[in-house]
Order: sequence, then C-alpha cells, then structure tokens
Amino acid sequence: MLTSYGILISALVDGLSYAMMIFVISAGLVIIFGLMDVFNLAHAVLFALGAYFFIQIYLLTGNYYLSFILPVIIGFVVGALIERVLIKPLYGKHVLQLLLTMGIMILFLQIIQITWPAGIYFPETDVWILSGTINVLGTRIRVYKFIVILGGLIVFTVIDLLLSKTRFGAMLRAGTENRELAEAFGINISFLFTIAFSLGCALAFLGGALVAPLTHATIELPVTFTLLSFVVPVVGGMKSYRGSFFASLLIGIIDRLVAYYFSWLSFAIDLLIMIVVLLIKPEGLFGGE
Amino acid sequence: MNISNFKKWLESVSKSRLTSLILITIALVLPTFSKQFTIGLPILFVWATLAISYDIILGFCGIPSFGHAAPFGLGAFTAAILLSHGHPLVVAILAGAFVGAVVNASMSLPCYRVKGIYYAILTLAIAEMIHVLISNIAKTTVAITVGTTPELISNISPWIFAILTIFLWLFSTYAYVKDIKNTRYGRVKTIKILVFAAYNLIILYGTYRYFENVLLTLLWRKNIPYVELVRILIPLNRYYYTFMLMLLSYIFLYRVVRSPLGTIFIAIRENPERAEVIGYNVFKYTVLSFAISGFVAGISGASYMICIPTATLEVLTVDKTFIALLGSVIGGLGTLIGPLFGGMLVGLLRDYLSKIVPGIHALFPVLTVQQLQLLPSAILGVIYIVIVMLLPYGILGTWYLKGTGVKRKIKMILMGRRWH
Repeated sequence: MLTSYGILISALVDGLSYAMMIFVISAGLVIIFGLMDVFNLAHAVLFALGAYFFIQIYLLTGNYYLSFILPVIIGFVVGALIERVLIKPLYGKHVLQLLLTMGIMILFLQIIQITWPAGIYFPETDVWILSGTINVLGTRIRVYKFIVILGGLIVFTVIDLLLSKTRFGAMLRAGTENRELAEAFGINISFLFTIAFSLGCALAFLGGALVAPLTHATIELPVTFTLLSFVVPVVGGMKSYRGSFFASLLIGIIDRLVAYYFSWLSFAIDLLIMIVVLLIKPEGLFGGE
Repeated sequence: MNISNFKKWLESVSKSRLTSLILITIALVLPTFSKQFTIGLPILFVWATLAISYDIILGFCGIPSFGHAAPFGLGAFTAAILLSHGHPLVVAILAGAFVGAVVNASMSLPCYRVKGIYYAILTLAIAEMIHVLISNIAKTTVAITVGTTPELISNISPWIFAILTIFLWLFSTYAYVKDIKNTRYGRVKTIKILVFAAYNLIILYGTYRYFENVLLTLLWRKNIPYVELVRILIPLNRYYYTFMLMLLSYIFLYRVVRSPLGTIFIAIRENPERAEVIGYNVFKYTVLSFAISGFVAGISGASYMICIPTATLEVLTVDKTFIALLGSVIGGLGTLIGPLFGGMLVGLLRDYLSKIVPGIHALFPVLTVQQLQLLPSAILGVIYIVIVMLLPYGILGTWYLKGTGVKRKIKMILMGRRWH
C-alpha cells in the first residue's frame, strides 16, 4: 500500500536518483559550458544518443560492460570531431555558438528519430541489479535507482579528483582562466581544449548509458533535458564542480517532490529556481569558492 | 501640411528610395501572377517582421536575448483571443503589439544585473517557463480558433490596394524617368532603360490581371456564391495585410534606427560603459529598445494570427526565437534590410524543405514517409551549421565587408573601364 509515508520515501529515493541523473547529464556541461564557456545546446542530445547506443548495443550483444564502454568511446570521438571542425573558430562568440550547436542538436535529433522512430526500451532481464526491486521500509523501489545514485557519486569523485588533483585539471583551469598566459607558459591550449570538449561529450554519453535502463531511450529524453542540463551549472556556479553537484541534489529533490505533490509546477519549478538564482546571485549559489 | 514641404519630401523620396519603391510596387502586384505567392508569402512576411524586431535588440543594442518567443507568442495569443471575441482586426493588432511591448520590456528589467551569456540563458528560461506553465496548467491542448474575421473577407481592401499600387507605380515611374535623365554613362543608361521596361511590363500585366480577376468580378458579377467570394478574397487580403504590417513595421523601425535614439542604441552596443559616462541612462534606453522590439514582435504575432486560423501553444516554443535569431544573423546583424530578407529566407527554407519529402521517398524507399518527414529538419540543421561557419557576419554584413571590390569591378565594366 502506498501511504503518504511511502510516497515520501519513494519521492526521496526518486529525487536522489533524479539528482544524480541530472548531475551526470550536466557533468560534461560543467566542463564545456562552465569552464570553456561554449553555449552547447546539443549536450542533451549527445546524452540521449548515449542512452540509445547503450540499449542498441545491449540488444545486439547482450554484454552489459561492452555496451557501457563503447558509447563512451564513441562520445569521445564525436566530441573531438565536433570541437576540431565546428567549435574551434567560434570560441567567445556566444550567439554563433548557440546557432551552431542548435544546428547540431536539430541534426542529431532528427537522425535519432529517423533511426529509431518509436524509441527503444530496455528489456526486462534476470539480472537483479538491472531489473529487480528492493523493499525499503515497506516501499518497493528499483535497485537500479541506487546504482544510478552510486554511479553519480563515482562520476563526481572521479571528475573532482581529475580537475583538482591532476596536472590535466590544473592545466585546464589555467587555460580557461587566462588563455594567453597559459599559452605563454607552454601549454598547448588548442589540444587541451579538444581533449576537454571530448571529455565533456564522453561524459554525456556515459550519463546516457548510465540512466538508460531506468529511463529507456525515447525522444522525450533530449527534449526535456536540453534546458534542464543548463540549470545545474548556472545554479551551482559556472566554474565550480562541487557547486554543481550540490545544485543538482537541490534541484533533483525539489523537482521530484514537486512532481509528486504539485504536478502542474513540475519542470517549471526547475526553470524558476534558475531564474531566481540568476536574478539574486548571478554567479551561482555555490560559486564563491 | 505645407504643399512645398510635401513636394520637397516627394522629391527626396523619389531620389533616395527608388529601389524600395520599385520593390514595394512589384510586391503589391505579385499575388496576381500565381496562387503560390498568396499561399506561401504571407507567413514569410510574418517571419521577416519577427526577424527585424529581433534585430533591434541584438543587432542595434547588442544584447543577446533568447526569449523572443514570449512577446511573439503572447502577442499572438492576445490577438487571437480578441479576434475570437469579434473585436476588429486593428484593435487586435494594437493589443497584441502592446502586450508584446510590455512582456519584452519586463524581460529586459534584469539586464542591468545579469550580463552576457547569463542573460541569454535567463531569457531562454523565462520564455520556456511561460510555455511550460501554460501547458501544465491548461492540461488539455490550448487552441483558440479565430475563425474568419470580417476584415479578411472585406471587399473594400482590394480597391484600396489597387489605388495604392497605381499611385506607387506612377510615382516610381516619375522618379525612374528622372533618374534615367540624370544618368551620364551610356551603358548604365541602357541597362536602366531595359530594367525600366521590364518593370513596367510586370506592373502593367499584373494590374491588368488584377482588374480582370478580382475587381471586375467583385464589381459586375451579381450573386457570387459566398464560397467563391471567400476563395478569392481571403488569400488576397491575407497577403496584403501581412505585407502592409511588415512594411509599416519596417518603416517604423527604420525611423527609430535613423533617429538620435537609434544612435544611442548603437552607442550602447559598442561600449555601454562609455555611453553611461557620456551621460545616457543605459538601462532606460535598453528597456526602451526592448519595448520597441516587443511592440513589433507583437505585431508579427498578430499578423501570424492572420495567416494561421488557430492559435496553439506552438507559438510560444523556442523555435520562434530561433527563427528570429537565425533570420537576423543570416541577413546581417546591425542592418535592418538584411534581417528582413533573412527572416524570409529562413521561412522559405523551412517551407520549401518540407515539400521535397515525396521526392526523397522515391529515392530511398527503405525509409517510411513518417521517417522522411523528419529529414527536412535534419537538412535545416546542416544548413544552420554551414551558414554559421561560412557567413558569420550574415549575407549583408559580408557584402559590406568584402563587396566593395566586386562593386568596383561592376562599375568599371559598366562605365567602359573609365576610372574616377
């Protein structure tokens, strides 16, 4: 029986897994939009492509690990191509970036719809982790939601360590802070930015692959998340990785609770949070280091 | 008005606006040549109006607002609601324009605090939130059916437009003859005379067809069935109303841009801090530019309701912002005539591409028609990418940057290689 208590628990777990989901979506965008300042509207479409590839490869091979790793590699290559050919001449020109990435978005969106007209659904499997449910205080909850939460935490940790502790992270932060100075210190900025952009795209594909068993791959995915993926970096503070993690927790939980109790406000509330944050504190809630 | 002043004004118009006069006159007789024009062109005029309204804020004030769907959509909704309650068209258009102005001006209020890319994403979010909120609260499909407004089946407007056409034709002919007289070089003169002859042929034939098909039918035939009357009048009136709205908006914005106010807008675009220091209230003028732009966007929303009989939530989607944005970028930001044609070009691409579906289906029978219907949008995406990569300053902007050499060459050929 779903009591109000049960609803609250499932809303909370839902909120947490949703938070992690939008975190992995916007994880790549924090690099691309937050650090490199590229207005990438196509990010959510890349994320959706990850989900589509994951399920398609899973249906073809039946191998979970392969279908998880291949999309990430594809994402890296696609990202490198996009950056080298299209984005490179447009650094710093936001209006043109918007138009360009919108073109990419429309193109990929139509390719997705032409290739998979009805979307593809993740099949029921015998694997407990993928399709099973677990009983939490009298409420049945998909196990995979906890996997998504775990995956989000792992992604956060890895990215955080990568950006704050490694040489690559330091170079990237230096390059986005002051391009000329970093170049003068002998950093190959052009190569670095290509790697960073591809990393962002690979993260988008990874996010898609991670959440695909939960959300399935339908055209709703890119349509909903195109704007939502921008909410997290903006609310969290553009250059702050931890900020966007907390922001996605905040937004995910608020969004799910609102969706459970006031369904007419759902999605609008996310945009509302972003608008209010932009009006009150344009540098983001957690941006002040 | 003083007669000699009026004469002076006519003289100046005939000197400096000859090309525009000719284009307007041709546009007025265009619907008589083919049904295709009356069906296809009105919606292009709407997109052109939207694009020039957007150019005021992005091209002249230099502020990237991505929420232009809001003034357009809300203007369209206001007009649709008023029209469906039986209010006159003029009232609906003005109300739509005022709603657009108010909406856009209120969207500009945060711009003194939120700058650049943040402002862009803020406006994108606001416009999308309006759309989502309305669709969530309404729960069902929102659709306001306008029906046939009495102005669209009025049989007086064809007469007005016939008189206008003839007046413009006489005026432009007078100006053209004067211009030919003042031309010194032989080759240029010959070309001008040839163009003049072609122009007159077009107008004469068009006016003749117009009289034969429309005016005489209205005048002589008694008891025309209502259905046939509607079939003749509605496309014609649609064409003329949307065209006139576009023309009036263009003239209005042209006056604004060429006035001291427009210079202040350009000053804000070039260097806001400096404009502030010189003594202009930058915030006030930004809000003003948004209000002007929203006013015209509201007009384009209302004229969209002339073309499309039912208002759905589709008018509020981000798509409309992108038409405006792409139209003004293709045409050339910071010019006014560029976005006018840019907006029409974008509309034409969207329209034309959706018509090639059957042809592609014959080529690739593997794909179903439903799948192929998506292909034009995919091609449109590629076109966006190509345009942004190849013409970042727009067509007119590129012409201004690189066209002088071409112009000089043409001049040299025309003047027989004489060099001044």
